[in-house]
Amino acid sequence: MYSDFISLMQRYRSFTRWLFSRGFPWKETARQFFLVFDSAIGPIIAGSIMLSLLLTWVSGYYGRYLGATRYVSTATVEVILRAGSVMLASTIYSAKVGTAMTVEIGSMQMTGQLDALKLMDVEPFKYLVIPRVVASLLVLPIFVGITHGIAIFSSAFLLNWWFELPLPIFMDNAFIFLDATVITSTMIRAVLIGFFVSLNACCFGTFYCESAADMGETTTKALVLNIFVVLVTDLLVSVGLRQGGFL
Amino acid sequence: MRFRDKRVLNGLDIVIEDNKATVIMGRSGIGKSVLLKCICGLLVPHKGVIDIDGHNIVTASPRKAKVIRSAIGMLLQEGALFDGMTVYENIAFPLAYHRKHSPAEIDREVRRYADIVEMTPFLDVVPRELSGGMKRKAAIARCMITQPRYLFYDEPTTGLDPISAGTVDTMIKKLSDTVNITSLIVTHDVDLALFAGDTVALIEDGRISVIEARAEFKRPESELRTRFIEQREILHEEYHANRK
Repeated sequence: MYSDFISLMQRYRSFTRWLFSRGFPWKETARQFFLVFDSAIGPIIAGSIMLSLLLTWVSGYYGRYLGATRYVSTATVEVILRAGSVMLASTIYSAKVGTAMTVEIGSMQMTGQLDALKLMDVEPFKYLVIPRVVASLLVLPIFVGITHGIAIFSSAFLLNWWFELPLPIFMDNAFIFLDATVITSTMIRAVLIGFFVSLNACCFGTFYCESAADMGETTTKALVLNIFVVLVTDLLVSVGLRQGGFL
Repeated sequence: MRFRDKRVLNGLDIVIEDNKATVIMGRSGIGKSVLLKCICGLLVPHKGVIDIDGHNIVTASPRKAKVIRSAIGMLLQEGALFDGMTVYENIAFPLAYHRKHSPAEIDREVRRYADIVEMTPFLDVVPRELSGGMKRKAAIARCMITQPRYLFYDEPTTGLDPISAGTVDTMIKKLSDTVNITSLIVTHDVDLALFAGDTVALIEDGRISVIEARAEFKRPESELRTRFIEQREILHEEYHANRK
């Protein structure tokens, strides 16, 4: 556990060193952006619809029970915008993209491809890690935005279908408490989570693995750490922004 | 060189002759690949001197080590081709990444080396669709494209069927004979050593125990061959003794 932590910190240091070295890998970063977007957009859309199903059902049920159906849209959209979208998109991202990064770089390490890069005077951190991290910084906020849109649209549709809430009333009440700081906060959280999740995933991939079992263990460690990172970053940034008077 | 408590190379001393093919033999796990990685600077030995063109790579600064390493090409075990790229992109990668050549020059060089290793018909194929022998040949072309003065082969025929191993042997010999290059081959394949090696050395107990020139190694009473085969027979005897 302690040695894993030390190894992880050493890789964070390498990342910082190569991030500021000359010759930024723009082309590979662009390629990774499209790859990552393409691989996770499906689960993100499906997850957004599931999130709205759950929230709509719970808020609609209790809204009707408490005689406050009119304000169900307020509660649903508030949960989606303030917490639901970031948590959902980040968790799916960690599981789908983070795991793929760990396994891809890990298998490259096991088959000697990282050594091959070094022999060609290509620094693996610069060629493999930086593009993936930068792509994640850009992609995760986009995914959060997509999750916002799909979850709110699905909620409007489902509340109308299940609880007969007319769309104009939904729209009148949905964004009562919305202001720019809510969106800014979710985007800041998405960028930070994208950074830590992708960097952890890539760093774990570079850990020395001798066998498929080692690889599996390392991937599991990376995923568990990233789930914690999602929760802790979300909490700390939310509390920090509120205490700092930004929310 | 040691890993945790296990000492792998200990007091190893060898001189690799210029423009010759030197083969280092030894059983699996004896430290042959570790030796190559130390020479390339991928691993740093705890003690010792690795002199390449008058520079000690062990104590060289990172910048100097980079310059020394630029003269070395290495065929890693199983080729280590990049899965996400075609054979063309793999061969072109060392030139394309460093952006020191125009696309036309890169194209010309890729086709030239693909032709030498007889991989021209497979340039658009991805590595997973290639046989083991073809992967090694494509990897050799990728090593050669930077025109190294030293080419190292890490178990180039391991895991190949005899025919594929034969084509790789032939390719290594062809390169040694036609290109002015110093080759270092680590293997436990006696056939490869007989075919491609100008000098053959045996590693035992972390050091070089026997060195023979090709003519000597080819003789049936070669000490190196006898000792290498003896190692296998000892293992067989141990197995039979344990069964009893």
